[in-house]
Amino acid sequence: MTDPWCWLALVPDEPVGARTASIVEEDGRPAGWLGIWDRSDEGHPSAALRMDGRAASPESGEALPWLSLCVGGSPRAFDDGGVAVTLRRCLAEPWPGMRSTLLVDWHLIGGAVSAARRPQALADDPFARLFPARILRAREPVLYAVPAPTGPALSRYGSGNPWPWDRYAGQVT
Amino acid sequence: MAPLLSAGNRFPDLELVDHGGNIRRLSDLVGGDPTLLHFYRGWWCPKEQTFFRGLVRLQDEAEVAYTRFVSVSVDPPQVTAAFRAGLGGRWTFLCDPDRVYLDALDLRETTDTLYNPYVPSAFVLRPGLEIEEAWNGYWFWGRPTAEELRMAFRRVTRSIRDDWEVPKA
Repeated sequence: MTDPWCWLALVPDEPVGARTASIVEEDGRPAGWLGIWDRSDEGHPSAALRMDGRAASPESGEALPWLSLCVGGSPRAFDDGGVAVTLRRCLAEPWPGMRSTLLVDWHLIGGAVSAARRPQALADDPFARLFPARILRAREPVLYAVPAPTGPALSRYGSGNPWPWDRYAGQVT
Repeated sequence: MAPLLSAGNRFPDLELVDHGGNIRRLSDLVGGDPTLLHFYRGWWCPKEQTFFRGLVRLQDEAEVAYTRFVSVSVDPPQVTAAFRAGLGGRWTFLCDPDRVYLDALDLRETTDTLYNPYVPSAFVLRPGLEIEEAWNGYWFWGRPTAEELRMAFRRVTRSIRDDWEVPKA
């Protein structure tokens, strides 16, 4: 059973004890390292954010090399109207392969990450209207395809879990 | 409606391609929430367009109510994706252009030999795919109204959410 969330951070040096990938900018310049830590791993950096745990699991789907990472600026309350409008756009528009909100805590969203086979699928990331966006490429497999949520439901299943994690713990399915 | 698809029975766990070209399984799409499963003739039918306009209005409530929609037709993914985008639908559309489930579900519209579509029909499913209520929409007035869907979603939600009654402090 995949954990609803894990920690994700882009850091300058290769982190120890994390699943990692070296990251480059769209033009090939080095951009640091993407690190993923299990939810229970206390070794994550303080800047790490909560990501849908399925996106870190190879069992979820194919590895997706291109990333749209939208982080920075001021976190927003998840109930902010701008966040709701963005989530609606994500459901209405073609699904790139994987998306996850990046949560600071149960209340605040600090950004989002999306991944795709090709950078063109990330060119109009709805989250880029909320947070500064960068198109990046992972040199090693680190993010995996997660199917689009069924819709139209877009609430979080447990306020501490990132969207689009789509069920409560212990639910009959 | 075929006896197989009446209330209390388990709906078959379909596996079809979605509007984006991805293979999806119905049980995964339903997950743990009340779900409207809706079969429609195709993009070309004015009755379907009218019914969809009602669903598009209802999706604004469903999006905050932990409720899911799935629509199924014989249209191929590219046609379905364009139709969905034109409607403004924010839920999953499944495609059965090879008509794999048409006879298995006994949902072939026998009076349309041109398109060979699904009979318009609607089901509210519970988690686990149990049919809560079914509607035969061959005639337009056989389809569920928004109010009937709300009532079915309420019944399912009340029965599956342990905290329907506000938890005591």
